[in-house]
Amino acid sequence: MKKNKLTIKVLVLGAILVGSVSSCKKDYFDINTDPNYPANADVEQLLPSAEAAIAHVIGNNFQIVGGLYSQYWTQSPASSQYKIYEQYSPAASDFDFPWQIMYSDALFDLKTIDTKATADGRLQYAAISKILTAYSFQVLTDNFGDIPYSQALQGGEGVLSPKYDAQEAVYNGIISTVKAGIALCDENAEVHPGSDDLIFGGDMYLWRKFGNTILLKMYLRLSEVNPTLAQQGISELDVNAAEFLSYEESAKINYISQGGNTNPLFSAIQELGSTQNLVASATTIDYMSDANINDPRMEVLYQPALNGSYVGLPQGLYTASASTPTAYPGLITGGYAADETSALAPVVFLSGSESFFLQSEAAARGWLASADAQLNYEAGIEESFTTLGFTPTDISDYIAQTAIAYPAAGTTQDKIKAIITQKWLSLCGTEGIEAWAEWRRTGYPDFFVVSANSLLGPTIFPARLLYPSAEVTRNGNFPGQKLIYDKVWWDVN
Amino acid sequence: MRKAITLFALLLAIFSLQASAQDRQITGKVISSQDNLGIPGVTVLQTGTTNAVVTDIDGKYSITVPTTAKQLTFSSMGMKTQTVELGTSNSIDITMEMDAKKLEEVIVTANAITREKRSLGYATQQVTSTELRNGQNTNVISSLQGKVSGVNVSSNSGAPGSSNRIVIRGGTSLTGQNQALIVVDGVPINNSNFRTNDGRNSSTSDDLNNQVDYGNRGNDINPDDIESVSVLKGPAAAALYGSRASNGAILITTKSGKRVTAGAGKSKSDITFNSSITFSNVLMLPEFQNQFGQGDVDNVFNDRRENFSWGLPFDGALRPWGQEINGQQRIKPYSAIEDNTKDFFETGITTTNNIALSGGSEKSSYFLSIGATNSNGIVPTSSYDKYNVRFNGSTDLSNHFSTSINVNYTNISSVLPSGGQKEASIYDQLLQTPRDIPIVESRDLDNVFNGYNDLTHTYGFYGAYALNPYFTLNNFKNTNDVDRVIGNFTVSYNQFSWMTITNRFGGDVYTDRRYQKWKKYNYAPIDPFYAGNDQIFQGKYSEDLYNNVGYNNDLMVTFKRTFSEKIKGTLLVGQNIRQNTLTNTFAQTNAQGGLSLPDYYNLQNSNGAALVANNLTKTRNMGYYADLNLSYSNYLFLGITGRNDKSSTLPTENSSYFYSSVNGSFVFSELLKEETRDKILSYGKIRASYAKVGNDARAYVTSDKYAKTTIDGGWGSTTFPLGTVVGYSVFDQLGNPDIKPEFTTAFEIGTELSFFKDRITIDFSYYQNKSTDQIIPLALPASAGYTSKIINTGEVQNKGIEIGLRGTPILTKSGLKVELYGTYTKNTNEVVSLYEGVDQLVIGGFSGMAIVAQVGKEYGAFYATDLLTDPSGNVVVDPSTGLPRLSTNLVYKGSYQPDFIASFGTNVTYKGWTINALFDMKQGGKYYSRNKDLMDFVGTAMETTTNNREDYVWANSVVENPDGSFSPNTTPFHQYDYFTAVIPNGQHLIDASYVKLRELSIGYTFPSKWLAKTPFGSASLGVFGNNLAIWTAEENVYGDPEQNSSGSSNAQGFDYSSNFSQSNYGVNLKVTF
Repeated sequence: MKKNKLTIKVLVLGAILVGSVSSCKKDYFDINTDPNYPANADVEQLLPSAEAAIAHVIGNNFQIVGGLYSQYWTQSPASSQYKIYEQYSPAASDFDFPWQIMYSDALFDLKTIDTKATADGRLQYAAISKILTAYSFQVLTDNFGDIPYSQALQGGEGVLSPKYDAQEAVYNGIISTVKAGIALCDENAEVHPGSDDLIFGGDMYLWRKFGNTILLKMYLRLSEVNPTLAQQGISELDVNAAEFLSYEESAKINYISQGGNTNPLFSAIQELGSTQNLVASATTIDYMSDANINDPRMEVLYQPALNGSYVGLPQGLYTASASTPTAYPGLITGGYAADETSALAPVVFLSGSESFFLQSEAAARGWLASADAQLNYEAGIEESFTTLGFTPTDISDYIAQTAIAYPAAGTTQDKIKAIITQKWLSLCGTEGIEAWAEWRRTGYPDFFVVSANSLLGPTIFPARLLYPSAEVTRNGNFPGQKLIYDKVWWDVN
Repeated sequence: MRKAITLFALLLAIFSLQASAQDRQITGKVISSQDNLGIPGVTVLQTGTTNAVVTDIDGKYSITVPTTAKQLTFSSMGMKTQTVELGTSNSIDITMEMDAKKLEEVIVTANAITREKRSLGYATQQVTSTELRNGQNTNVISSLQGKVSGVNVSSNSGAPGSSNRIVIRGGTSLTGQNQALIVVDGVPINNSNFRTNDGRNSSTSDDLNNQVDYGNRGNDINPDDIESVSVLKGPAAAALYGSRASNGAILITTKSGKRVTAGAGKSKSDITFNSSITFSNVLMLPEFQNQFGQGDVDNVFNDRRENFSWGLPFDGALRPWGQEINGQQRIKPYSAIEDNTKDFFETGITTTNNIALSGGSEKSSYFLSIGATNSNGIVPTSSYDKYNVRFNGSTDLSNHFSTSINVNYTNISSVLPSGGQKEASIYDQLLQTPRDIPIVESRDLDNVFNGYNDLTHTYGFYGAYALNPYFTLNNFKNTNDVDRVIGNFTVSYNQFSWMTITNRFGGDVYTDRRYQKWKKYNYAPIDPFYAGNDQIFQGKYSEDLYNNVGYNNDLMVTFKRTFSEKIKGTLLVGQNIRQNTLTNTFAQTNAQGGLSLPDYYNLQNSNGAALVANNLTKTRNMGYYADLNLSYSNYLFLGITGRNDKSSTLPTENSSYFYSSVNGSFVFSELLKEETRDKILSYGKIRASYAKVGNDARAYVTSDKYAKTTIDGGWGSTTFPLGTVVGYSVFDQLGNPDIKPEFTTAFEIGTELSFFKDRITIDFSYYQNKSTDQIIPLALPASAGYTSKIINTGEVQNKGIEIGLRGTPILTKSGLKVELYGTYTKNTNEVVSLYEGVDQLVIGGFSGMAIVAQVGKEYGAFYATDLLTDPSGNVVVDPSTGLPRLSTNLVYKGSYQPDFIASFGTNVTYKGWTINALFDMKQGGKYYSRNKDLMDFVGTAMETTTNNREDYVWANSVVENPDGSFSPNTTPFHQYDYFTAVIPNGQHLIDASYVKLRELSIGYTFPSKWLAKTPFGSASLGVFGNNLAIWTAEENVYGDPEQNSSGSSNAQGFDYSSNFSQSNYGVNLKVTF
């Protein structure tokens, strides 16, 4: 009997032990809330993130390829980072970063802002988010053609492989998005962003003008493929007396010298060990220093070679001797590593100068009746010079040259050529990707040369970027890779 | 009835005690049949009583028995027990024989339960301390290489503390842990191998510019403390450990003191001193060309600044080189320095000293060991020091309780070299050095031609594109300190023969502290010809601190019952609780701005905001389990297990999950005639098992979140706060509140056969593992708004065979024994499915070369850009340049999974001599060699000298015609263009096959009679080596394919210029007092 009693005791003891640990508090397992990340963030934190993300792409990844394909810059013979661009054979994986930043950083944060701001009536945030969404999608579609649009950014709703939309559909979409954004802009709204808006500090009047200018830019991009729509849209702007960005009203983000807060291109160069991969292209240097042009901006847009001269390397000739003297991108572009002033270069979304050239072109085509093509042409040059620190005399001297003066008596094509060539100069080093898009649309400047190390033969230029490899491998609805010389829809010439 | 028997025995014992008045004393010696030496510690028992003594150090004994005693029984672990009739003589000497079979019979299984191997229905293999220590490898896991079938061990560099990976029967998890669980004395330990970005916000792959091998924590155990290692190969074997053991388990049993049998009287104490010195050299260097020297653009431009060896052919003429400084320039013959890279490395020296004390009494035992490993690596300035202290003790208390305690403390401090690319990578600098530039001569950094001057901010080193490797060594410091305590405390209660209650509490606490001090500098070249080639680096100081606290408690009740004479059973029920808390604090000076002041390594010195992040991961699990084992007549066995787990990482409604296993074994040889067993089949068993194991998710994947904004553009980044503006973004990974546990099912059959009195033994298994519903972060196209989503999906299957063979072809009376053994493992791995519409999941690599899980392919497949080929496989070239065109998409290039793994070894013993040799091999599989990539680019690789660098037409190349057809190509290509600009990553994926002389040792144990007048009980001296020689595939002249940049992660087969592996050899002395 004694034995049995002991057995019971032991079993009871065991049961207590087992029971005591298993019956501990109900929330014993409820520890799976991530203590390392916030569960929420508000529009004030999301907006600067989205703006900086767009700026990182247009100011770094696309600034590099845009700078090379707009023939402002070329690969240095002393290094090798961007040889593949000059060979016109970039890898699909080269575009993973910009694509990812645009979609999952910029656009998705913008979508989240729009949802939150619309829900709680902070409509100025919604306005900005719509305008920047349209801007971002235009950058994407201009460079990649057909892109995920109508089904994009819906991973949370289960759309894991968004389908690709035709570029035309994307344009139709973003034109209405930017219009919706403009319509929401209200200078008198009580709730609006402040310093969290890195571009305009919450000035909704400037946002409205920026929206209008983007719309003008979008319509003009369709000038060759759908002039009817372009003309209609621009006339509508005219009828509505839309205001555009003007003097000292560039949409841009300023940077500071603190690590991580510098100009993104400078940041990239610094991370590459401050190797000066980018040097001046002879295409631009030769043009600017031409005896009939005498463009003084050259000395600001470029740093001289170590021997003090302004000399460009023929586009793509990285196979030249490594000791060939070359000029470098200027401090204003963020592209010169040896001087920390480069860190402060702004990233420009759309400049005041560019706005004038857009109006000038629209006027020259007869689509923007209220504007004067020549006045806007000269204003564009003036604003470009002023931004770079030049005096009115410098400007008037420059414009007085025959080769520069507005061809008021010329054909429309002559005028467009002058306007776009000047615009190309004004975008030098700051909006390379836009300059490349305009070259693809209009064919101006008309003196680009095929890269000396092109693998595509002597006549072929790149006409788009490749879809990124992550899209190839991850998107079940991926329509197939394009060739780098396949033109996008609006590029019909 | 049973009670009556016990009483009877007691009476007998009492009776025998009373009879002690009439005694006789019997003396004698027990010697071994193997070497005719005395065997200490043999129990000499008066048969049928508890009266016993043990033999002394010389094998001598003296026992007092009553005159009525009839027999003496001699027994000792590992020896055949003998019973001797007592005659008239009071002196009895006997010779005992080894019992090989018995040695293997008992095996440590899950939860430190010792089982007879014959009863197990699943594959296991035990490695003894002696076998493990043959090669004197300082890393425990590496010591298993080639010794166990089915086990795939990869050792990164073979240096002390370097990481290694152990995978049993192929990987089954797509993105989770694929390594076997490591268990020490019944308690699982942490085997983490945090890489640069692990444990923190980012889930990106390793930083290619910061590759330091901090090792994996499984190697913290001192190999000298190990008694045995059991490998439980499948999930069946490990069902009782729960989820973590779905990849099999490595059960390490540490040494303990020997207890003395009751009645022996005096206790015996052991002191063992083990000391070795090991020398290390680089095992395999890449093969360099010795035909062309410094220069650029294919023999045309002779540039003194170049890191290219694309210059003119060597002519031996005297030529100036490097910078011109103060009107002076150095001059040397223009010829290759063949051993340039080899001479950079030093002979590494490692000393290992270990002292162990052990002893015991009737009721207690203890083991105390102190070990020190002090190593200077083959890379100058690198070092590794490890100290271990272990105490194991056990005692039986009077009131049916017994207790044991095991505690191990490890301290490691090391200075480690960097691999990868850029400034900090020593290998990057070495592989880029032109073939005529003397490396060793650049050692003297005070020489203006070699050095960098912090006062004048100038440099005189020849190279404009690479650094002096000695500058890198002196100015880029990676240090690591680890303190770790692993211990467990066990209490058992066993008043009844039919039930035991055991509680085992284990703790594993460590801190792993990593510091990086990378110099800030800004040097301009002195020579104006070098102008524009400034050497600029922003510098860095970082602290990366990991603190891990894990505890594990098992409460187990074991019931034993004999149902009949033939049917016996045990039932174990238990409960397991574990919790793991990992905290990581990472702080680094601003990623872009670096340091403000040079040479001051403090976070205060950050130029721009310091990057700080802390991360806490806490998980809890609780499991209930049962294990039922039944045996019939000692030849039929059945085991059934079941377990229910609850995990904190799963959503509440899915957090509890059940799984079970069944296994059986049939020792058919028991049914054979005694004669047959003696002459032919001494042992034969077949076994089968089926098991299912569940697994939970990583912590914190069930919900969405936000994160502080960092925009990474590949090169260049924007981090918030931007000025004073705060930025947060939606987290790129989409959480999943509906996640379910994942399951692995495994089926295996096998046999163990032993012929001719165990002269030949065979162990064979066939297995099939399938892992389903895996919890993976599915990579999303960024256009979906997220870059990944946590989902349940995917199936990976492994099928394979394992063969272990052991034979003793020679066994002579004189004591010569030659044993041969080998293993063969063939595993076929297939990713069966991933997710609807998705057939690829990236697990590693970089842009242009991905390591992926691809549906229909083996896990770890390589996809890379490669040469474009026509439908017949000919290379398509560009008609204008003759250069190959490249594939636009990434193409399949094989995988890192080997076709098979095999090993072959021998043990020879003769008198006091032992010789061991072990070869192992992996056949097939690929690996990515950045060494090849870099050497091709700079022109130091052999293959860049084909046709003496004259242009030639690519063999069988074709050009594409406008109509899409192909015709033969006649345009020669320029090799410089190919190797510096065109060659795709797919061409750097090369055959990873190898054969290695893994271990070789020769030892001599001094005869005890020589030691009679010394204080030593035994003494042995040996020479040993591990990783001694390698034979690689013909195309691999670039390095040991075991070298790996991804530590023990799933991204294997990826050598991004990681540490060169080393061969080790030395002398070992072991004495006991």
